[in-house]
Amino acid sequence: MLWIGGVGRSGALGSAALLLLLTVLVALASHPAVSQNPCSLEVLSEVVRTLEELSSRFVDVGGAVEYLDQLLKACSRGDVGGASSIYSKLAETLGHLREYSRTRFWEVMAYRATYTAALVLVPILTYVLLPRAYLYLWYLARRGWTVVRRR
Amino acid sequence: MILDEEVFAVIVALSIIASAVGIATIWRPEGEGFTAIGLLDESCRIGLYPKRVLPGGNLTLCISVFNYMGRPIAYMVTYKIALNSSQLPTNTTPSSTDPLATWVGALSDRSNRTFLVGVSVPTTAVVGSRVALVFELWILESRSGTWVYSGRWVHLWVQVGE
Repeated sequence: MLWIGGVGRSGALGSAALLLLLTVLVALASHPAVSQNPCSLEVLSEVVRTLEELSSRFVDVGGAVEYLDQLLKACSRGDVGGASSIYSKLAETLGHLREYSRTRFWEVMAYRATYTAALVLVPILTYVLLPRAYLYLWYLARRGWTVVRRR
Repeated sequence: MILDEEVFAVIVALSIIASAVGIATIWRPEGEGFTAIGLLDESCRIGLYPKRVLPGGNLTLCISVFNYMGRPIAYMVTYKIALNSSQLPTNTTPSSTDPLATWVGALSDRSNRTFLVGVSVPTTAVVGSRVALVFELWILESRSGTWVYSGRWVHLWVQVGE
């Protein structure tokens, strides 16, 4: 890159064009659908690993698994173009699911904690309230009664 | 009748047990996962399996794959021919013969798939001999990035006829 410091006008233009080309190449290379063959075991493993992670965070990955199924079948047929198209949709779906997984995990944890707290309260409330409720109903059922002295 | 102390104690004990069971249910870890493969006839039912096959002749069978691993899986079913019992797979090792066909797919946890497959016996099969049509289940191991034999297989012995 030392020659970028050249003073000529054409040199400056050339370096700018090269910089632009490098930027485009880096952007393309960083895009997984373009940089890697969607049928490679590396890519498929990465997809499965992501699905496993999402699944462990209580995310419903049924739609993404359906895409993976289509992707595997397209790869099996040798339809690399179709596989790339499916992989793009799959990558997009996984992106959305990854976003959702951040809140989903805590939603499930909050639900479980609430459910557990409610269940812990059941015996306590039974112990505290049952005798009172029983006595209340017992007196209620006898509210019309008249107490008289037995002779 | 005033609430008897013993009856009250029993009711409280029952509520404690119910509460403990409920909490254990919601927090229990996943059990040990497993996969399974099944072989069905061309109507995708158990029973009418072919007994004879011609060399090079086509057979239609049905394969069922089950996933209860607690996570989604990518699977591959391979079709092989075993000429004798020693070439059959075991729980730990796949058949030593080369696969003649493969079928791939993906399954969510607690789901299964049943699909028809068309298979043939090689024309080199010896007429009058018995061969086993072997279907092995392989799983894509995400950490190692390789297909790993699951230890599950099904096979069907057929007579090679004229």
